[in-house]
Amino acid sequence: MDFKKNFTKGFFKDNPVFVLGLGLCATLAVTTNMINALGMGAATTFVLIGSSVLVSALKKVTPNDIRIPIFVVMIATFVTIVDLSMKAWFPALSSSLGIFIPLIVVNCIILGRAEAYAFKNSIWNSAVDALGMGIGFTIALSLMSGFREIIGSGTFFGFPLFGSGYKGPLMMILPPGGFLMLGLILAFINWNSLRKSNKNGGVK
Amino acid sequence: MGNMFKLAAILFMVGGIAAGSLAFFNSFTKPAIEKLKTETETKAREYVLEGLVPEQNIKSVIYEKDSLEIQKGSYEYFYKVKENETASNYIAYIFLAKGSGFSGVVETMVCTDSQFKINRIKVLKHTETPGLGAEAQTIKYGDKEPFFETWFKGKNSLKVVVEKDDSGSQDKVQSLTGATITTRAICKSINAYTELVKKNIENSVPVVYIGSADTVVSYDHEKAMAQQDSIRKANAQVTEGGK
Repeated sequence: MDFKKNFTKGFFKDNPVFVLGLGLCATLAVTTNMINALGMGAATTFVLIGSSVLVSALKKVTPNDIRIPIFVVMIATFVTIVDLSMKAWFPALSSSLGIFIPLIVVNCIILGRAEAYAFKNSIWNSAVDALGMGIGFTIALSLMSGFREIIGSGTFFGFPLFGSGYKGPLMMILPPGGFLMLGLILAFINWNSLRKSNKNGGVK
Repeated sequence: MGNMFKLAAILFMVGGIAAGSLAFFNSFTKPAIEKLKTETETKAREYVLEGLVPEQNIKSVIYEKDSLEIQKGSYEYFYKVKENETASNYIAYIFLAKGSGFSGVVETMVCTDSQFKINRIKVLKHTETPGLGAEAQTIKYGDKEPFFETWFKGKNSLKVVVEKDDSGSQDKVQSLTGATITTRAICKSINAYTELVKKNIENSVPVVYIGSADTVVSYDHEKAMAQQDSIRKANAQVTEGGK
């Protein structure tokens, strides 16, 4: 697979959230504002790259029978490193993301990429794949957050857009708003790809 | 069978390496995290004290750390504040009130004057619903402090109550829209902790830890209690000797 395709497939074509349907828990929970989205995206990308590279590097010596527990330990190590560094150097972000940083351990994007890609491919390809997927995840989070923050609290990156009198539908930054937004975005993506395939005479 | 031991040994080794590297990393972040914690607490203390002490003196006030018995055998601490080393009266008490809100513990730092009139509060930690209970920390655009916290200024901390519970009270506060439970939790925790502080002061337990803002970070309860005991005994001997 050529480099460019490998790198960019995670952005839209194989977007982990919108197409593969992975990592939905974090996507629904932290996308209440843009700062959270970028913080979470960066943390997940770091863990993805670290664990993918390590899994790929050790694939020859990892016994097949216990690969999953070994992956989980590796992932958990990277997540704890992220958690500790956020607590030490980005306390505000750490307190607003709260429990969802430690929960990256069980984010299925990471285990999914380790199992489905890194375990079978070279270190370099795994790193590129992980970076692409991480960026794709960040794009998905930002898209959700952007809409939710603008509609729900009338701000963007915490900066008010509509003056201080704006009272948006609170529901958008509450959990139900996450489901609604995700549903709308998925519907749009499916509608768009259906429209395209109809244009091409039924070929995707 | 042999294979099983081999796999277990590999897993054990992987776990060991992971633990080792985390311990190594922890040694870098730990000092930063501790320092941040102290800084946050000092900042919060100075924030709630603002207004009671002239601004240029706020760094030089004396905090005396003392303990509150929350339950039998379980202790937390609070601060008695003096304007300077030689002052004989306390000008303020600062404590961290904890109460159960809608979805977890709400921690509020409270500063009252010596008559238990609230000077300022600061909601430090909570897990309340965004948009409802979490509004307690929201600063409206253009404001300097959260609107919720200003409602508490000047109320009696022993009596402060949610308007819905006692609309005739002088010390009522409005509840946050849709978050009466949060507001009530904060009021009740302030009431309860003030009672404890009052009890401590009325029993005039001797002060154990004295220092300026940045020296009162560590607090060893057992050592403190032992010191208090020895001071009590010494006092008792003095009075006996006087008889």
